[in-house]
Amino acid sequence: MLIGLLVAKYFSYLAVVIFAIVSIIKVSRYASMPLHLRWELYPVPHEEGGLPKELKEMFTEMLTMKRIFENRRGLWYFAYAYHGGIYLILLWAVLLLIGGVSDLLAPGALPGGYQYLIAVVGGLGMISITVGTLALLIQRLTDEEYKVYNAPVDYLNLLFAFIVALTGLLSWILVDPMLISPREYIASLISFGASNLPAVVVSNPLVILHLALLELFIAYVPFTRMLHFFGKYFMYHKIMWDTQPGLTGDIDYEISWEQEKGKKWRDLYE
Amino acid sequence: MNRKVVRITDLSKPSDEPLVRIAQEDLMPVPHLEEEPELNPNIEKYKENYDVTLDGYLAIGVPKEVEEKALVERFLNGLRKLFSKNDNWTFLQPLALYTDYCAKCRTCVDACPIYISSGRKNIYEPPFRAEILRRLYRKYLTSSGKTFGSFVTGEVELNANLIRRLAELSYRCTICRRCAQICPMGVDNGLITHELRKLFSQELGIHPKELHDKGTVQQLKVGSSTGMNPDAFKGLVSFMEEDIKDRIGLDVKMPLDEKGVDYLVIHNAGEFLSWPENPEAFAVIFERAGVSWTLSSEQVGYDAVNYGVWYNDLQLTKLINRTFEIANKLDVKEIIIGECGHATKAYYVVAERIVPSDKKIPVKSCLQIFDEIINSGKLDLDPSRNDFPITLHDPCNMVRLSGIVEPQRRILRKCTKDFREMNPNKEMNYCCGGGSGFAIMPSYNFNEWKMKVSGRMKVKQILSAFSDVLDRDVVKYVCAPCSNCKGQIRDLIRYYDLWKKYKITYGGLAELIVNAMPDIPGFLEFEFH
Ligand code: SF4
Ligand code: SF4
Repeated sequence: MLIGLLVAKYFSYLAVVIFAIVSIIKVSRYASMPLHLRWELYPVPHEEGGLPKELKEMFTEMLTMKRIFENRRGLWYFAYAYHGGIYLILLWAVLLLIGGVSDLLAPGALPGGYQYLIAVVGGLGMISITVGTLALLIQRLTDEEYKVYNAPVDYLNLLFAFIVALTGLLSWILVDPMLISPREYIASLISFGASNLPAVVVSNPLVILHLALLELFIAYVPFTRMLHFFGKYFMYHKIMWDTQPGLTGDIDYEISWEQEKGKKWRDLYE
Repeated sequence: MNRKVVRITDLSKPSDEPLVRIAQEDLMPVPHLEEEPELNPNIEKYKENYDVTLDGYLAIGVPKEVEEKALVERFLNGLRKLFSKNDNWTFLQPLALYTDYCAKCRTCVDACPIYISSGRKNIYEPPFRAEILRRLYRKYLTSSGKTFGSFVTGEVELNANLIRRLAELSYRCTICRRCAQICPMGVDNGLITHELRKLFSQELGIHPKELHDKGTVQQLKVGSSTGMNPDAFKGLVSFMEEDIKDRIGLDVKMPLDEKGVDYLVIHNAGEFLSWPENPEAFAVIFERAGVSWTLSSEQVGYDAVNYGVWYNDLQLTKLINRTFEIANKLDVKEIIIGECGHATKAYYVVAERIVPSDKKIPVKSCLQIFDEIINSGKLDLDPSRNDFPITLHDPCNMVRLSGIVEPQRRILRKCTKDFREMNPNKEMNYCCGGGSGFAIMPSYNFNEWKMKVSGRMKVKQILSAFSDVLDRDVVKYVCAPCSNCKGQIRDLIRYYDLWKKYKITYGGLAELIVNAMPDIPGFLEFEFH
């Protein structure tokens, strides 16, 4: 019970806070790097259709993983199961949030069918991630050409995601098929305890285990390359499609390369 | 097929034999190429003095005997500088992102013509050399790597074997960046190649002599990477004016050092020596269009080449600074880069953030200018003058990397009759195999690798673009608006004997425009040289 409370109450906030702080540190590290030389790749969508085209390109890639679909179909099925599952879980989180807010402010305002939507979206998301991560893990462990690139931590990351999803899936099937408790849990979190935590969340070992693992995972993600969703923003918008003209970089920096030690970039002539 | 998988750790192991061998039966088949020269890397000749143990070929030729401790130390210094903002403000942000966020999904590998042509040798996979750099970076420069070791970095051992092989491996990629075009993350493994080359060159002084000593160093000192000094250049200009007269009977001037004109035109100086008809054609087009332009005879001012863009940001910067100084002195309105892909990218794209704001002058590619001129109707053109089959090679630097895609196509449609695209083309084109300096790197046994591996995809594309007319006794013209691509395509045609077999030749774009001028006697001479 105490562990359950700790996990459900305090660690939930902690995980989100760690995630946010580490992500901000990481992102600001990239953002504060000096302006690089132009190194774009054409076609550059904003040159053809402005910001709307750029956003369209970006979201199509994010939502469909088109580049993998077109160039490595075999991998796409697994990778998309994983990422599509994550998108479903994000959608689920939004649904839970809306449900939680509405339960707090105007109980009964949402139709009863809303809970079915929560159950279907959440359940599908969990199935999808479980299958996707397991398939990716097997592929990475068995394919010689992929194995070249993997460090042990890469397996760990996939395994971690798999276990989080699997415990979630089992909790859903065995404990709460309608996924009512997550909605109550979210309501309690966003009201800072004004509404009660659902009983299963603090007492059912499987649910506690799942929640604890999920929180660990959330806090762990920003330390790994799984944070690539922020990285991708920079790689697409700040490099691949960055054609902003008229700028000059930091040519007053002093050089320490053996070849030109002590000179400034602006003074390089001979 | 020999699909031996090389591990990252294999690169650190001592061996007398190459880790990978290129074998004819593994190479990508090329239709219509029934016979081809036999492979003969002649490893025995080089193995005594050089490290040939990557793939049996040498682009740089790193000596076998090195003082290991010092080498490793210097490499690590270079690695640190690569990730420091003072030393690498030019590319730190992309480098850091690409090092952190490759998903190792291998989506990009099939996009690489070198990997495919070689028969899928995994050391040529785009992320392979990046993974080596990534592991070294994590192991030596990150706290997680220092704390958790190979659990987070993956196995890697930094020693002389690895350094020598990695140096060679950084010259098995043409930085065509086709792989980056399809990476779902936006990771650019071509840039990783580029950064590795910089580390080797800027810190360790390891680079192909054609790029450095005979390339940028000679250019800065003498005026051109060809070794041509200003007097020799002026002599060539007079020669070209006479040559125009001989060819088409017209007096056409090639203005030198004229101040205050609209365009300073800078060619790849290789054109003056190997293909003077190309700069000559420029002069004819400009004269007809009434353009006010000039060439510069100042050192560096007559050679647009900037090999720095492939291997060394310091050399890149020097050449850019010198070029803009010349343009400022001449007080021209725009700088126009001739038919040279890498120079176009260097000056039209990359230079911008190096040039101080008070020295900025707009830069354009000659293709954009020709397109404007033709569009304005200033030239009378008869496409039937160019009635032979023509295909267009897209230089990576012009198309995928500088976004100049349609001008050359509009021009070809206005001045030729049988223009056929290669496939794939435009921003998904394949490199000629001579990119990033390879076209001018014939040392040791590297030429064979260029012909058999990196250029193989282009040969396949050229033959398939002409497949319906291969049997016809007509000249087939590969139009390559880039000096380096032209050099590589010339060498490929020669190596595979395509002129004799199929009457395939090659040339630039400006020549085709002049050849389409109805009142001028034929400008093109169809011989293969
Ligand atoms: S570079 Fe991109 S496509 Fe290639 S393995 Fe890395 S993430 Fe995948
Ligand atoms: S840049 Fe080009 S040659 Fe280099 S790895 Fe990528 S596709 Fe291959």
